[in-house]
Order: sequence, then C-alpha cells, then structure tokens
Amino acid sequence: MSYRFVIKRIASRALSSAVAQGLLKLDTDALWDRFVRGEKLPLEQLETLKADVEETLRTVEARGRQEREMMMEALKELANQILRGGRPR
Amino acid sequence: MNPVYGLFRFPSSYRKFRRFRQIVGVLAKHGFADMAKRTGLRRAWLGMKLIVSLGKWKGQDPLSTGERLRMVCEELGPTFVKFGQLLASRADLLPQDVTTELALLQDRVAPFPYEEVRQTIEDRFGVQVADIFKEFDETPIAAASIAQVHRATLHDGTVVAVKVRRPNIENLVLRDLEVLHSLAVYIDGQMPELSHLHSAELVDEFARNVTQEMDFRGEVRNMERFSANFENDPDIRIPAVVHQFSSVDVITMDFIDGVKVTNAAEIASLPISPEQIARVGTRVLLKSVFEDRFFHADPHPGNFLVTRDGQVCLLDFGMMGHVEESRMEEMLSFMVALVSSDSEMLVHTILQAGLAPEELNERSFRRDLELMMAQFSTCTLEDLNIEQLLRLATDVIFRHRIRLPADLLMVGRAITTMEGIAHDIYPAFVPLQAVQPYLMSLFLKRALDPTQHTGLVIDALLDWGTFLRNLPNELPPILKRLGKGEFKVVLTEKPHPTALRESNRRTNRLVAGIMGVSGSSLSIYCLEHCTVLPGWVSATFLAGSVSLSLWVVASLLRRDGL
Repeated sequence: MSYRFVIKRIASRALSSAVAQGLLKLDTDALWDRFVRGEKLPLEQLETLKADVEETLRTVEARGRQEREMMMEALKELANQILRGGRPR
Repeated sequence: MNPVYGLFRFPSSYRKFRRFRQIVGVLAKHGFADMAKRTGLRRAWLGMKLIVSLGKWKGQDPLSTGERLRMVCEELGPTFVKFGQLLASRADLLPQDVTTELALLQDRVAPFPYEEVRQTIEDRFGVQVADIFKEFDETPIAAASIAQVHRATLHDGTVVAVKVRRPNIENLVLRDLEVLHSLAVYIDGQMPELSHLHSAELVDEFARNVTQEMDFRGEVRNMERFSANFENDPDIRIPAVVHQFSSVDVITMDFIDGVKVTNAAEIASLPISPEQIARVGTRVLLKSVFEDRFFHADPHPGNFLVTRDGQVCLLDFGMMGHVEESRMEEMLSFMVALVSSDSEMLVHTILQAGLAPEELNERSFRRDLELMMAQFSTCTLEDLNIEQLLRLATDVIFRHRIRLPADLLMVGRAITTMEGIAHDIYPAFVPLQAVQPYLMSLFLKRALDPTQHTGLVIDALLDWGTFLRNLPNELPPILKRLGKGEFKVVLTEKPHPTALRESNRRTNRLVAGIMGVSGSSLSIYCLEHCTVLPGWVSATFLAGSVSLSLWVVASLLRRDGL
C-alpha cells in the first residue's frame, strides 16, 4: 500500500497547486471586505493577512506546478483514450 | 484485581506495599476514608495504619475536597505534587474548586547536599568537579523536586548554570508510578462513580511526562529545538547548552544574569517596558503553540527572566507540549470559537475533538454553551479574559462529562498562565486584543491554504477507489449467503464490571447459603445417627454451618434487605 502515499503526495500537490492557481486568478477584494466587516479584523492586520495568503498561494502554486502539469497530461491522455475507445492514434 | 495483592508480584513488593499503605493512610487522614477502605486494605493484615489514620480524621473537617486533596499530594511528596499539578489542568474531569486548589501546588523542596551533587557530576563525567569547573557555588540557586541548579564557572571563564538531578529520584518516582497505576486501575474497575476520569490513562500520560522530564537529554533536545524556532527573534533568549558537560542527569548551560518578571522594581530599570515584556511573552506562546506546535507547557513566572539588555529569557524545558498536526484545526477552531463567542462553532468543535459520552444530551449541552456565550455577547475585549472564558467552557464540558484531549487542555493552561503573567507585569494589557486577531488571521490563513484540504480530498478519493476495487470480490459472498438465508448478525454485549462483580457476589452468597443449610442438615443427622464420628466433630461442623448461614442472612440484610 505504500504507493498510496506516493500517489497521495503527488495528487495533493497537484490539486493544491491547481486550487492556488484558481484562487490567485480570482478577484478576492469583495471577500476580504466581508472579513473586515464580519470578523472585526483591524485594517492593518487585514493587509498583512492578505499579503501572507497571497504569498502562501504563490508558494503552493509553484511547489506543485510540476505535479499539476503531469497530472493534467495524464488526465488529458486518459480522456483521449476514453473518447477514442482505446484505439491507437 | 485488588491492587494490594498486585503489589506482591514485583521483587520490591514490600517497599511498594509500605508506600501503598502510607498512601492509604494519608488518604484516610485527610477524609478520603471511603476511598481508602474500598482499596481493600481494611481487610489486609497491615490495615492497622488505616485504622490509626482514620482516628485522626475528625469527619467534620471544614476544609473543602480540593484543599484536602492538595494536602494529600503535599504530604505524599514530589511525584504526587506533580500528579496534582497535572490534575489541576483537567478542568474537563474535575470540579472547578478542586482544580483551582490543586493549581496552588508548588514544586518546591529542600535542596540536597553538595556532597551528592559532587558525587553525581564525578560519577557521570569520570573526573573531579575541579577538573571541569574553575569555581562551583555549593549553595544552589534553585531547588525543585527533580533537580537543583548551581552556578559555576568553566575553566575558559564562561559562567554557567549546572542542573543536577536528585540522586535516586528515578527509583522513587518509578515506585510511586507503579503504586499510582495500581490505584488507578482499581479506581477504573471498582469505582463506577469515578470511571469518567479514566484514571489509568491519566496516570499513563503523567508517567510519560515525568519520565521524560527525568531524562535530561530530552530537555537538552527541547532547548535546542525551541531555540531554533526563535533563532531569528531578537527579543528571545534561550540558554545555550554546553554539551561536553551535559548528560542524562546533568545539564550545563549558559548562566543568564536576569531579573524575574515579577520583580517590578528592577524591571523598571531595564531597557524594555513591562508592556513590551507582556507582548513578547504572549507572542512567543502563540507562535510556539500555533505555528511551531511545540510549546513550553509550564510557563510559570519563575521560568521567565528578563536579561539586562532587555531580552525575555525562558528557562526549564523539561515539560513541553506537542500539538499533532491533525489536532491543529480542532485546537484553532476551539480557541477562535471561544474568543469570538461563537457558540455554534464551539459546540461543533468540542463534539468533534472531545470524547462525548454515549448518554450525552446534545441539545442540553448546546443550550448550556449558548447560555454561557450569551453572557459575553455584549462584553468588550477589555472586559473579558481567556481564563474566564476557558473556565466557564470547561465547566459546561465537565457537567456534560465530555473528555477533552490532553494537549488541548495543556494549551489552554499555558495560555491562561501566560495571560496571568502578562496581566501581573502590565495590568493595562488586554491579552485578548493580541490573541483574537492573531488567532483569526491564522485561522483564515489556514482556511485559505489549499494544502490543508487537498490531502483530505485525495484520501477520500483513494478510500473510495480501494472500496470500489474490492467490492467485486467482497460483495458476491455476502449476497450468496443472503440468498441462501445463511446471513447471520452476531451481537455481543460486554458485561459492566460492576454488574459482573455484583453477579459474582450473589452467586457466592447462594453457594454459601446452600453449603450452610446442607452442612447444618448433615451435622444434625450425624449427631443423631452417626456412630463413626465423635459428637464434638459434628457439633463443630454444625456450629460452622450455622455461622455460615447466619453470615449469609446478615449479608443479605446489610446489602439488599429482605
């Protein structure tokens, strides 16, 4: 079962990287405004938090980029195989 | 099994038995006679101690249970003082008045003679004290139950603090731990009213902590790990270890020339304000708990010094707390829910993290927590403190018999101790003002970090994959059996120890009753008709049988009535 942990590590990194990429592309200002109102965080602290979160997302995206691309290739190949019914190209 | 008998299994059984007898005697002396009696010593041949001790108990002592329990720990020595300190943190298991009282236990004992210090150092390093140290102060700077600290100077002129373990302390603590374990097993099995304590688990946890604390190599590793976590923090100082002269029972480290945080007069002359000290202390604790997951579990004022150049120095790394990564989310959610008065989140987290009893009334628990939180809904941060919030929450948790993970309570205790110190140093400091935004930020940061969630998603997908892969092999035999009508469901019920004991007692009484009656009948028959046996034998047998029957009747009347 040890391959499970290898798959988990690769898949987790790939998925984290994909989510991080998606979040970085999103316009999150409205979301942060809600936090300011709802959680009573001081503005200064919110700016630090925003910067920290962005930094984390960038790190996560970069760390799992290779795995993400590999997984995307594998998924594309799998989709092709399914669509072509297993016939060679 | 009765712990008294269990003690005879070990080679040092007599010493342990004497200690056990002493413990029971002290318990009885301080009004825990019922507990002492139920350990079985009442019937043991050395039970005289208990009778003597019971004589000292007046029965109308004005002292509370907590006070008496504290006195028991103090009288029984260092192991029990430390165990009492651990119990003080278990507000989920013990009533508030008991934990408050146990928190007063002080780990202070008389120092041991310099001759023994010298012997320990020389035995350990195989050289004379004078070969290692240019100067060695024979009077200790501090003495506690496990070790004492001396000031010394190395030959290169470095001033050091030398922590030396008490000779033979390991054997004494291990003996007490074995006795404590026997008592705990007995309490778990034979005292249903205390079964929620899971005493054996508590003693095991304590044994792990205290044995770690006695091995100074562990403390050295703790110091270095903690130091590495704060190496870039200019406000923090951790003494450096002199490895060459440190081992399992001696630690040689930098001597920190500092001022105790409680010494307000001298603190005023240092280049750091009391407010800064309070802020640094809180920051260190929060970072170590929630970011490094490795924290000082005993941050009492004696373990904080402020150096002449304004750094905050932490001492004594014997007892450290570790937070497992898997617990981190629960821990953070618990604290965030508490400091932001979110009762729904608090209920959810407690039920997820705690070990709720089967009979828990979730609705009533929810209502109690909501009522508790409602008290604070209109309060400002200045009016609140973490200690108060935690106390009220654990009070509700205790009432509903929910057991919380030990590390969560350890964190709670560390935070409240730190809060108390910060408040003493700088009364205007509002710890919640520092703690709440920190926790909120960290919580949001983790919530928005994809790596915190993807592992769970992948795990779930892999589990489903395994399940679907195995299904074709595992399902057909079940369906086949169902089809043939051979499918069986076996339900087993484990008998409750108390019910089992009561059932055994009833069986014994029944057997004794039958033996008494049949013995009496046989004796009367022999007295009248038997010529082989002398009359006095039958008469003695008759007396014995009648006594047995009377004992059964008395036992029935005493316990159940007729």
